[in-house]
Amino acid sequence: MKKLLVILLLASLGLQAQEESPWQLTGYLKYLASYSQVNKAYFPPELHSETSFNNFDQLLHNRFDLRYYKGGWTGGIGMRTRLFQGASVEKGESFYQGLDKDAGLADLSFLYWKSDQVLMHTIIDRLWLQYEIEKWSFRLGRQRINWGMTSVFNPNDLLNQYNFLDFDYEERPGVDALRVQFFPNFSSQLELAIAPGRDEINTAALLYRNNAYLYDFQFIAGFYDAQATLGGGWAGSIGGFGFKGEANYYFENNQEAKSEVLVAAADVDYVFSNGLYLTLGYLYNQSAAEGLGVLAFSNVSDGQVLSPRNPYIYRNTALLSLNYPFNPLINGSLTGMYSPDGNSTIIFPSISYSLSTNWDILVAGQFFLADNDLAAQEYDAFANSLFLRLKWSF
Amino acid sequence: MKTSILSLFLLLMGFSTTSTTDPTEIVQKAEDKLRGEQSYSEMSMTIVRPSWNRTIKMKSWSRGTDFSLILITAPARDKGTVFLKKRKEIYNWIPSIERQIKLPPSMMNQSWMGSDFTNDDLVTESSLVKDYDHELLGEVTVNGREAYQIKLVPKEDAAVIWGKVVLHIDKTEYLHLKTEFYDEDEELVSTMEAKKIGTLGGKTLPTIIEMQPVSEPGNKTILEYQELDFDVNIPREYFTTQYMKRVR
Repeated sequence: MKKLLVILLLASLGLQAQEESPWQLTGYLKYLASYSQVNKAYFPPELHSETSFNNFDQLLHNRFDLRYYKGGWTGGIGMRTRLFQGASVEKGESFYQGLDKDAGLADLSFLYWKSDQVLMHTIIDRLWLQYEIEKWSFRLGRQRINWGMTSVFNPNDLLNQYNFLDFDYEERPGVDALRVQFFPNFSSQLELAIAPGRDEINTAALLYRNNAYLYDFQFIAGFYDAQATLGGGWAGSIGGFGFKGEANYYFENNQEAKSEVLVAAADVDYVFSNGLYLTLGYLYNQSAAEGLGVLAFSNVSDGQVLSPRNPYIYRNTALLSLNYPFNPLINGSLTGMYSPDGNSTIIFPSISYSLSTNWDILVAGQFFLADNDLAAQEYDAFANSLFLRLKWSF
Repeated sequence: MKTSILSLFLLLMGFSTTSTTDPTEIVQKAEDKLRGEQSYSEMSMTIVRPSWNRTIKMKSWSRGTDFSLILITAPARDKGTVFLKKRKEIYNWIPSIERQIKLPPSMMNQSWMGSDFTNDDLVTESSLVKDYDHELLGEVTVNGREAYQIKLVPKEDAAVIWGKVVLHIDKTEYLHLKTEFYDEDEELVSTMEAKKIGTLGGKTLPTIIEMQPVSEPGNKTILEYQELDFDVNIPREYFTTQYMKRVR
């Protein structure tokens, strides 16, 4: 690891100075403090002694993204290193194991400092080589393949799902895959992606995308975890509103005991003249078990990544998202997600402030509300988290 | 938002040597020469406020008013972000997650990257020639240069946000030296001024342009061109979502 760091640094120092250098290094250093509070009333009294209801965590987070360009060739490597301290580390084994996990073919996750107090972890989440020639593009390695068209929920993202609440993972995880793209003309593209063995799940899919009447549309056919799947999506507009949607249907596979599943999402978005960006969306996820209510929240905590066949924790979810630039330095956003299942609600406000050209500060909250099964279905706050983040970009 | 800076060129620049005093013809000259042409530019935009300022640097390619591509090169946080305008469609490429996002058409309405320019200033589909009646007010001196002062009043059915526009067009180079934008009550809203004239791509053009809102003294937006070339041939394939992902 150390060697790699040295190479990255040398590469950047020596070569980045020139404008047309084939090397490009970007990244950041972040500090994140988080405080979370869980409402005792949602837990039976016998669990109170063994559960910690107030947790403080802090972490230092460094990222390097290095690119090398030569003719039609491009190479990319991205790595994420985090130094943890606080309640998560004190959880011990359960936290280490969740963290030091590489879903890909190669184990590029390294946990090399583990004590009762601190934990240091590095994962290489991008490592790919790309060759482009005329209408073709080939990329092999750990990469991010985004096929989704809608804003938050993306049933079409067969290869790379992510956890919307894990806002500190801006780059989102990569997948070990081979991707071949073919661009027959200016508006259409045909794409093949094969990703074997991600969490022992094999994925292979073909995508066709084109544009007509100011609409982008796409069709997807493939296999995901022993199920054949067909899907499609669009991104267009109605008046000034953006109008997007996508869906995937998974065929039943009796041999593997997989039932049919439909996952569908749609949204509209609009930008007002004062800069307010509004998104209204909806997700139908047939995979999600019904009646979980507040219990489902545990499935999105701690940066867990969901799957394309089950991209969110509830069957029906409505989404409202507002983003408003108060001025070029201050940006506010507010996202709310609501599911009728237990009246489960997540409210996610954040405000960012640019301290100087490369320094930003972010204050965010995540509030989880739901009916309490233990208190006559009283609707209350289940958990509240607050975050403070300082970021230096380079 | 970050849609096109092409129309800014359309609004600000023009060059011709033939002399004329017909106001419509003068405005036509300041606009016409660039319509449908291609351009490449490298520029920085500085937003100035009484207590702070921020600079964004970018490269931009354009073909007519239909196609433009903007690559943000600074600050570090936004480096590599791309905006593609393809006729009436706008796309955003976010390099960190390698994701292409189609933006709603209403994105055109808002202020451009928090600056004092609105998108109507930048990608105005209205035409200074066709949508306004022109009146030559006289000849004035702007920053030491001789200019025609021309009053523009929108035609009745024109979809234009200004009540009146006063242009100051350089008599020899046909450059927009100063433009005053008035609202429907004929109140001055903002002033755009060429602060420095220089040579870009072998031509005499404004290299520094300032936009200043009247109601907020101390606020302004400064555009500075490091490069601006209209004598370029930019392939149509640059303005595709495929190319958006590889431009650097």
